[in-house]
Amino acid sequence: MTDPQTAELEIPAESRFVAAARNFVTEEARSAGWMQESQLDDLRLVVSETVTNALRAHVDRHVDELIKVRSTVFDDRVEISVADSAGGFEVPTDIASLPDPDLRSEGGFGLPLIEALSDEAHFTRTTEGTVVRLVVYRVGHAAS
Amino acid sequence: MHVIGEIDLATAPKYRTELNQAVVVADGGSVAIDLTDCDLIDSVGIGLTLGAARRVHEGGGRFAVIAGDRVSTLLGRYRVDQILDIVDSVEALERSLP
Repeated sequence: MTDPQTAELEIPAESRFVAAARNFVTEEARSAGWMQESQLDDLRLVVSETVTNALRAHVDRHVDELIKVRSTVFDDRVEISVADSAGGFEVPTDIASLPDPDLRSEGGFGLPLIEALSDEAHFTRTTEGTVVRLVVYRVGHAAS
Repeated sequence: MHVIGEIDLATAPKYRTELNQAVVVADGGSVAIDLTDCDLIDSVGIGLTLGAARRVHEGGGRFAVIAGDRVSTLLGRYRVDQILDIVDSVEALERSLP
C-alpha cells in the first residue's frame, strides 16, 4: 500500500486546455504505474468530457475563473475532481436513470459516457459552481 | 478525408469545416473519413460525425468511417459503433464497394 499521489491543475476556460487536463490525469495515473493503454484511453475520455462540460458552463455564463482539476491516484483507483465556478447547474439526481442519448441528435453523448466509464460519479453543487467527483478503479482492482 | 490527432472541443471547428467541405464536394455521393491516425474522438467529434453521416445519407450517399482498434473502441464507448458504417482499413472499404 503506497501513499496516494495527489496533484492539481488549474486551467483557463478555453478549449485548447482540455487536452492539457486529460493528459494531466492520464500521466498522473501512468506515473503511478497504470499501464493498460485501453484504460488510460478511457480515463482520457472521461476527463475530456467532464472538463468540456465545466468549460461550456463557464463560457455560457461568461465566467473567467479557472477550472480546478485534481487527481488522486491510489493503489486501486484514481479519484478525479473537476470544480467549476459557473454557479452550478441542475444535475440529475440519478445519473443511471438518464435516457440513452438520442442517436439522431448531435449532442447528449457526454454525460452517459461519464456514467459509463467511471465507477462512481458524484455531482455536488457548491456556492461557486459544480464539483464533479469521479472514481475509476484500476483494471484488476474491481470495485467491491 | 484523413484526420490526424485528436478531435475535441478545441479542434472541432476545423473538423466541422473539413466535414462540411467533404459533404459538399461529394454532392449526394459517398464520403469516407479516415480516422486510423486519430488518437481521440470525444462527444463533440461524435456529434459532428453523426451530423455529417445524416446529411450524406439524406443525399443518398454512403458515409463510411475507417478506424483502427483504438478509435473503434472509443466509438463503441459512445455506443455509436452500431449506427456508423465502420471499416478497419482503406482496403476493406475498397473490397466492400460494389
